[in-house]
Amino acid sequence: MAGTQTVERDTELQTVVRTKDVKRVYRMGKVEVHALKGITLDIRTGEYVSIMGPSGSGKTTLFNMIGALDKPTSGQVYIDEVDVAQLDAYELAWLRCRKIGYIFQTFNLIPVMSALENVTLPMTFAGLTTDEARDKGMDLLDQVGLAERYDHKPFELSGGQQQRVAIARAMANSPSIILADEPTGNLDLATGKEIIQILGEMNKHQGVTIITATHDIKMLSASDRIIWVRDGRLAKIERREDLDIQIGSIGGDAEGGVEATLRGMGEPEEGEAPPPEK
Amino acid sequence: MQQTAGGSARQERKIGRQIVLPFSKAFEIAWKGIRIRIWRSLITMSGIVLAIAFLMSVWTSGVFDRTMRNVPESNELYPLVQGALAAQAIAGGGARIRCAVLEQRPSADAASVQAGESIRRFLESQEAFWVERAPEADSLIELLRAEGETRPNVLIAVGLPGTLFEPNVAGALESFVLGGGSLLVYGTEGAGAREPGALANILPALPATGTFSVSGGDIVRDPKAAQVGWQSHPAAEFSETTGNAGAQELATSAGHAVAWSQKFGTGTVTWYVAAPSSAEDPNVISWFVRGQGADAGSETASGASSPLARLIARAAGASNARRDMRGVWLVTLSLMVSVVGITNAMLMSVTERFREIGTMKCLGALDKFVVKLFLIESSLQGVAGSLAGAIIGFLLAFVRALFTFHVKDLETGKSYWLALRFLPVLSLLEWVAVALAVGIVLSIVAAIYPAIRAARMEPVQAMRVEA
Repeated sequence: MAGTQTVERDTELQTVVRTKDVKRVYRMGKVEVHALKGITLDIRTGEYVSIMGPSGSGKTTLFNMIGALDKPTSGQVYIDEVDVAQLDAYELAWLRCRKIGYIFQTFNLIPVMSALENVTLPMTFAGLTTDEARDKGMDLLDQVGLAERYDHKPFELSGGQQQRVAIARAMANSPSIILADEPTGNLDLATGKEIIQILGEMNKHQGVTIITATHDIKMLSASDRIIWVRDGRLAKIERREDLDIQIGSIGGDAEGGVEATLRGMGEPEEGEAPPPEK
Repeated sequence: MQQTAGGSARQERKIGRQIVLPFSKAFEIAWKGIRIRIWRSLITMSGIVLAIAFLMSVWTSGVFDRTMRNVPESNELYPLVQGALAAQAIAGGGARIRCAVLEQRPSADAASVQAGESIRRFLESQEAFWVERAPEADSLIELLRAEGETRPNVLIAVGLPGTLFEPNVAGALESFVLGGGSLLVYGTEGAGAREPGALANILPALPATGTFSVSGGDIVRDPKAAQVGWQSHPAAEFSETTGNAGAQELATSAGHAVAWSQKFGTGTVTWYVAAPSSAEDPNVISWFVRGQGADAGSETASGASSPLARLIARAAGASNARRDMRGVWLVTLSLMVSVVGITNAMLMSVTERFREIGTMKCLGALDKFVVKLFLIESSLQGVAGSLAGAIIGFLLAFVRALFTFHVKDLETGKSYWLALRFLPVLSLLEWVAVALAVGIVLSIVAAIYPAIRAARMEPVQAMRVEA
């Protein structure tokens, strides 16, 4: 089931992100690449969703659609029941500032700013005063355990610490959605686990919807639902309870691992056999 | 923590519009950026520094040159000298001008030294030669009667050197002028040991036609003079040509043109130019006299209304204008080159900072904000670069002027650093301000294209893993 909300709200769960037969075609010279071939899904408020799939599956493209970073060639993407394609530049900027928090594989902190300044930057874009922003920023840094490093620049922080600052930044304007693109991609095992744990806490305690695109199987156990994407289409949607996670394997297959699941999703279509990663 | 949206069943407008941030915010971020990326900033700035330094040094040199020439004594002297040289060029039909200058010695102060120095420099630029000090009467006579290449055809006497008033010199002067030479006498009557009217004594020695004599600062027409007035020449197609071929033509067609100015200043400075008006009939002498007062220092001989005089003045002015145009063209070119360099450097910067720009847009930055960021960055660099360039340029030109305008009096051994004495501070401050403005404007212009490129970047670029 979806994650619990600690905030008082209507008991009916709302859909925060909804896609309707979303297709995306890229034109590379004379070749047309159909990255997404019609995906319909919905993600509910407060869910923790992981989008998984091999490279070239359209996972990243779908992720960009959901995050209002790209517009579909056909079909609609609704964020809070508002069609993203109808928004102008100002509204999109507002959306990215207030509604969605982004976390990147490469952390993407502004190198010339300290941790606190990085965290408060989105607040500045949202129009908060310097004092308000500072207080809120310190509070967020405290939540991720980096309060005493508030004046450190990114190059003075380790990868894990940078990502934690990034999480604090993503939460700066209390967004409804956090979009994380391979958040643990550049981190080692232990640090990755930390990050996943923090994200899980944000999800449980703040009720933030978390959508990640990832290869990391550690993420699976934290997710409420896993959306498998393959070859531009939805391959499978699993719920956490349905997963049979054993050490080193999923789905009880002797070979184990994500690859097995992917292979289990059926024959490759149209001669395409993208090599699964990790 | 409250959720801001989602989960509510109310049908309110859920998407707001992003506010436009105040300028100060963009400034803050841009300023931080420059400080951190100081090396990249320095490289970008170096283009402006060099261009502005070049601009500044050209301007400063020009200012120094003009200032050096612009002392009271030489203010009206220059056009006169030019007039004399030009008159000789016209009348001499293409013969090379050899100008001798006599100076009053010993020089009393830096001003006189400067006046002499500037004349010497000017003459050198006209390929004339210079006699350092007033020779004895004998050697002057020898000089005036020399044959061939060593004989001057223009004689300029500055400061009424005593030699001029020696008895035999008058005769030598007379044959000099009649023989086709031009004479310019420039000095202060009544100064020193000269009694008023002393100059007039030279003049009777010269042919009566068109002679003026001076008495106590007033101009008295010599009753022996031929008619006073204009003799306009029908074929007076005083063409624009100033080359020697044209001069020859002009000289032969001018005939008996007489030129003078009706207006004379009341100051104690008097001057004459006597030049033959015709190569064929040197017995006819034309006078080219220029007014003083408000017209002093101006290039156009506005006091003289003769077409010939105007032609001379225009010729003198034209060569200056040509020199200025070349300077302007060079400077413009160098500024354009630096603009291209800045644009290049900024484009590189934009490409390298793709992740930063993409991230900012993901955080809610509007395109306008990104443009502002880059323009502010560039203008800050423009300010710093222009200041540095202006200082460097000025220093270079100043050092050059210092050594160029350094005069050592061979007699007394005293050194005059003229550049220090005549430092044109106000003028220079003006030029620094102009250089600053130019630098900033160019920096902003150069940054426009890179800033627009940055603003158009898609936020999704921030996701890219590889550079």
